[in-house]
Amino acid sequence: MTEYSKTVPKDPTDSEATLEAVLDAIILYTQDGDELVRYKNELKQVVLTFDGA
Amino acid sequence: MHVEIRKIFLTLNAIAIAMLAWIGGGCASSETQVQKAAKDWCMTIRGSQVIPVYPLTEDIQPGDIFLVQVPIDQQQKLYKQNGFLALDNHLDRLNPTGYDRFYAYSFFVKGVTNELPRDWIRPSGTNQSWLLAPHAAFPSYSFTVRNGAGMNLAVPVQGVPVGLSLMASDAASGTIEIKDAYTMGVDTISLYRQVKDWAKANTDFLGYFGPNGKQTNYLRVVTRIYATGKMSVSLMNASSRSGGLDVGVPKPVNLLTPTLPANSTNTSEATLQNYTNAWSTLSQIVQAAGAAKDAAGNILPGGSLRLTAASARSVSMDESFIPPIIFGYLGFDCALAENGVLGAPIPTYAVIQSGQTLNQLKEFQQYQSGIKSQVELFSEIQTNYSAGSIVKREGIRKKASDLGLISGTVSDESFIKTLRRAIEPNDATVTQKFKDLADLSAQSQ
Repeated sequence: MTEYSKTVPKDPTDSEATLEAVLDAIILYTQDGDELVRYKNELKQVVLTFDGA
Repeated sequence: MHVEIRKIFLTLNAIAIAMLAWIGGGCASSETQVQKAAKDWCMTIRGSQVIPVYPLTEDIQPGDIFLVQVPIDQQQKLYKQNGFLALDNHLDRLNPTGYDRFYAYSFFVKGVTNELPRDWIRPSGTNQSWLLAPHAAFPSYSFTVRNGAGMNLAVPVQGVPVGLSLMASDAASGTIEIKDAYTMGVDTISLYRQVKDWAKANTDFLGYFGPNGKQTNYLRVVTRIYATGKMSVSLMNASSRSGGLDVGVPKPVNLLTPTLPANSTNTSEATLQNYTNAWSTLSQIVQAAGAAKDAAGNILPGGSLRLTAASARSVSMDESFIPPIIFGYLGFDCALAENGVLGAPIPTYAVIQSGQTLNQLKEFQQYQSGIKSQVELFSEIQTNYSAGSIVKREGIRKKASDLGLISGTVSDESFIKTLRRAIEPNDATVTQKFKDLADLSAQSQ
């Protein structure tokens, strides 16, 4: 099991843009079978952690 | 006995001199320490949603106009870096005409002429400076301090180093409380109109500071100030040293636990007398340390210290500022357009916040741009890799490994999966690495 994290900065003016960026990141990194195992919603960024199967 | 008393006084004098040297010279001689004091103090004041004034001064009033020649994002950077916004380019001082309307139904006595700010700051014939002004209150701030290893709160208040010296401590935790706080302000609308009239009358001067390329200059106008007449510092000894060379070194606060006279018949009276004498001696040390004088013997600006409580492990002191000094302000900024025309007034706090927003937005935009580029390059590599010969694939994998996009040897089947994990939009160097790999993968072989 290989865990790795990716950080998506938030758009301070547009929460929809932030959401879209987070979803795009999840789709990108899970295309080959990796799984999103947790996320951390921080003040200025969202940290996604994947399990590289 | 006489010799012992003389020894104690010599020790106390030496400590007092050492404290004066530390407060007056030692601390200030290091530029970094002064900068740290400025930043830490200002971060404390900023916690109360007030823009800090540093150094503390009496000479700031509502209506003061400053020229700010630093772009918003830079201002935010400097604000974060230094903790305060420099008020070094003081252009002018307007006397706000809006005080009467602003305070007519609250703090002005009916039928009495009030001339602000003078009648509140320096009322004639009395020493009641600021007492008529509206009061304000601030929370207390906690901090820890360690001799020689820096502080997590450096403050321009003498009580902290003096208290440390009294306890002969190398570490302490404490609180600082802004007491006797007052405020005075005026409404933005009336002051903005005055500033507009002032700007019209000074277009020849302001014309020099119109927009220049990407840079916009601002006028910063103070609308409200906060003053304090007293700060209370409480320190608890957090030193853990119990052995080594420090054992036996006399601490001034130890005077408060004197040895009882052996042959006295009235021990309670003797104890009280000893305690009173020791308290008096400690108070004299504290006052001597606080009353720093210049070469001509004049008392230097700053507060005067008074001991309020002390024990072997704690010291509390009040530092009075007579008259009170300004430690924070609120205001608005106006952008300077061509020919000295003023833009809309924006609260200074909002300007700083928008600076933060701008920086965050920049980060998001860089991420968006990074992910777009890297995904495009990744797709190109994926296509070329899939279409390539075994030899070419090996070459691409080796290059990816050399560039640090993958670590070690990766099998043919898992290469694309591993490479995808290397996409790191926040890192511009990764974009360059993907570009190098895409260039290699595009070569025919």
